[in-house]
Amino acid sequence: MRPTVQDPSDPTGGAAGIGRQLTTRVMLFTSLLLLLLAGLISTQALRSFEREVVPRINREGAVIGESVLQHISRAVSLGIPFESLQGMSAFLDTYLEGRPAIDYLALEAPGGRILYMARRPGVPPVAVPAIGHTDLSGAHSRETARGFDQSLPLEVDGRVAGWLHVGVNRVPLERVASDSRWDIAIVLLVALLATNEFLSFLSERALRMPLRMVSGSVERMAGADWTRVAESTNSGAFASLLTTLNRITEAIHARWTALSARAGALAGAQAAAAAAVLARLRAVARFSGGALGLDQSHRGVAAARAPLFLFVFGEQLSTSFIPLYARSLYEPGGWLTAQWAVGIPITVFAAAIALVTPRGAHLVARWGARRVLLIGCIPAILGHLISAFAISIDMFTLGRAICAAGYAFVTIACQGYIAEGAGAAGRARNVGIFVAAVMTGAVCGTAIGAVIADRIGYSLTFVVSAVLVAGVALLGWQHMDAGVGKRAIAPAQESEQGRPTPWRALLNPQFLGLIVLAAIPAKIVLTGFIFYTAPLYLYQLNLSQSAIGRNVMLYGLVMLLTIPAGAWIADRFGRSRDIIVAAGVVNGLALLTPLFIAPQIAMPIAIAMTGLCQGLAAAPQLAIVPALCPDESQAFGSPVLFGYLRFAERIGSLLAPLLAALLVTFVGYEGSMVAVGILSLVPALTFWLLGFLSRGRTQKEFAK
Amino acid sequence: MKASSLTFRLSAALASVLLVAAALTLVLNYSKLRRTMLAQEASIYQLVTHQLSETIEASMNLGLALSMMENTQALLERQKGRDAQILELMVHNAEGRVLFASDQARMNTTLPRNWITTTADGTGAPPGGDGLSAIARSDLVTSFGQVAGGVVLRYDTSAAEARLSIIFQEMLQTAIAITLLCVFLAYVTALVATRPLHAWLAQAAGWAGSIADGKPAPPGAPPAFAEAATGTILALDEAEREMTKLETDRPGSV
Repeated sequence: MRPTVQDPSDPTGGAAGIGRQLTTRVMLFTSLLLLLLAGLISTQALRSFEREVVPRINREGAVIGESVLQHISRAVSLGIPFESLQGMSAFLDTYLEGRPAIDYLALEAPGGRILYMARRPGVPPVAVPAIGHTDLSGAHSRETARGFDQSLPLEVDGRVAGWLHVGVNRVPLERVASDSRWDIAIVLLVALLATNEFLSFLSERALRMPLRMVSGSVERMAGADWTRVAESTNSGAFASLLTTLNRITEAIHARWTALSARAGALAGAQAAAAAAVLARLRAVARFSGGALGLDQSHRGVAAARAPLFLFVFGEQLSTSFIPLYARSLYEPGGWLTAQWAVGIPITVFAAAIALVTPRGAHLVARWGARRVLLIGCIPAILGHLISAFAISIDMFTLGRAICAAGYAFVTIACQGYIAEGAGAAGRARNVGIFVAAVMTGAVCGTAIGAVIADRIGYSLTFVVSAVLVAGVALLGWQHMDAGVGKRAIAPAQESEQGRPTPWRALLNPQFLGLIVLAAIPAKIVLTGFIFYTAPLYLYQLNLSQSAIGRNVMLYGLVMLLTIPAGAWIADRFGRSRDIIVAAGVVNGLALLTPLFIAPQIAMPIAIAMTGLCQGLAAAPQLAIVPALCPDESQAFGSPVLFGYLRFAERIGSLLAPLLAALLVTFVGYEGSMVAVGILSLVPALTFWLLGFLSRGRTQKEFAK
Repeated sequence: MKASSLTFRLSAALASVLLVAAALTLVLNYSKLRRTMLAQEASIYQLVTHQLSETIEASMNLGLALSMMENTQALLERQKGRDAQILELMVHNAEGRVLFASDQARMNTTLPRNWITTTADGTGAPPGGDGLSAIARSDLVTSFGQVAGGVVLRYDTSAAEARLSIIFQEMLQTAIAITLLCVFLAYVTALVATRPLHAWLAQAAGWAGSIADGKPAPPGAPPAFAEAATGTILALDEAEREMTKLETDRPGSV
């Protein structure tokens, strides 16, 4: 039996284990270092916040106090006794409106008695630290339980007639500090996920691929196969070892070639004897008849995973603010209301992807994945730049449409590269790699995009996206193999008139039910709620851009964790329909939460539950297809049916923003959420009923 | 040794990740601080313009035309005198023409459009201004709800900018020190983590080199590999001997 690299007694097997151990250790230590780094830098930043912001909060309190005192001084100087001022509490109340940093305003008479006071409702009462005498001058600031007390003298005719106390709380400071802590957590999360992606990329290029080359060479040579050599590598650590291994093969090949030539020079009985000698050699080992071949079996898919991750990262930077940006560009007076106009760029984006993707797939087959990726980066960059400098919603919509074309080209190129990269055997696993790269990129992009937009504005965030796409082009150009993804387009593929038309699969009520009752509602929830309603509603709830991004990111984060769980449950228990139904029902109920809980709490719950449900149902939606329509799967192939499912999803994505805009216009944000929830709940229950009514077919599903 | 290039590559990659994370953390923290500080200043001067507009509106509600309120000039000058950071204060009419100004040179000029229609730019930074100053403004609204003009205040941000510059330098110095420490630790991590691999590579180079040089496979070489390589080489030796013999036996050979 030929030894394999996994054999523990084999040094190459040991190397594979060492490689895995190395990657794990490095990842662990890097995570710790990142925590240390971000923690220390942020601690210093928070100290600066405290030191710089507190005096400014106090100054704001003093300015408010001076304004109040101006009015009171005028009244007192007119001869109205300080103790007899009318409507003072109501007057002071007006200064608390719209100023959350001010807890109270109080007027102290000589002797320390508080005569008038206005206090913010709902704030725990704090004792006003009275001055008690009038022989002090100037303003004073003292710490209180909730912040600071600014005491300003009320001077009449050059003497202190009383004191105005302004209670300044630490709420703005704490809000900034809390926002900053969250932002740092986001930076850390993104840094860890991105580090994981890039370390995977690096370890694939510098470690796993050369290791596969070494182990492949050793395994091949152990099988006495001297027909091929390993490709050269620029990974210095392995290059000399591979050169040595190749030298062994080349030396043997040279001796074999010389022997063949010598045998060829013989004639008659000697020629027959020489042929017998060569035959005996061939019985011992395999030799190449001509030049040595090149072993390419080590090639992996990491070369496309990193560009895909970076591209989705760049694209999703704007996810949390696209509706807000669109609304800022909207000018009233046109034939569209603001709600509709805001939905148009999202709809156009989905429509452009649906239109361009088939063309992209065709181009990948013709030109290869790398070339299509490089071409796709051009419209993506252009689209981001047009979006960045858009001066109207029309221009922004155009930018998004161009971006979508780039998105379609790049994602289909990477998908093609990943699917073809490792041959048919690893295709299913590689599709998992594709989904993981897209979801990780989406989580990182959405989260950090909101933080960046909060700091540098929407326009410049699109410029950052364009720069990242340029990085994608560079990565793809440097590391992707040009030939991967290319296919010979057989004329037979073009003319299949003799075969039954695949659209007949839609006549299967179970498959049609899956499309209409599960796939389309899921996309309506995703695009309508997550991408349209959620950012607008969170903005209306007065959340900062960073906080909006954090909330929207929850969807991707939860989905990233639950997609494998959904796939595992579907594989392990085969109850795909139950998972799809449960996900639809739970998602629907989650969207009803604003009816029962405060929206600030209900929104993150609804977003996270949407991620959970969509993540759980993602794999079962595909897994159930062959079981629901076994005959059609047999006749047309599952990929064709998956194509219909994907197309239906795109229709859902296309309709969702328009539907959400309609609902927001007529029933508001909460009403829109409830309606979308019902749109998830009712079809899910109908899908369950459809399954219940055709249990015979369901048995087949279980059998599968 | 060439194997060290792996350590170098790994260290370089980790250092890049740490540098990007440090830069991102630094820039995000600093921009948050900068935004908060400038927004607070803006909030203070917004309050000042609001108070001024309230005072002027009170007079307007008595029936006085905006251009006729002579005490407005004194009001602006008094307010400017209270705060050294205020560069100028102006009251303009609905068309943006300056009616009263703390700086006489501004009188009867028309203000830039972005000074009289300031909106937030998404970053929360104070709008208008020239980088060293910023604008705060407030509308003047009649009791009938008509916008009669506005109060514009231009204030100095150079002190805040100078303070921010010092803070940034402090934060940068700390970030550099922490990053250097982390990069050093990353290098040590890469060095330690790649050591077993280096050991294996050295061992593999030993047995592969030995076979390549035609020597017997040393202990430690994968048995099947050593067996196949040695077996093929011996078979080739044998075949070459046989071939030489056949060539020698060839009719006509010497």
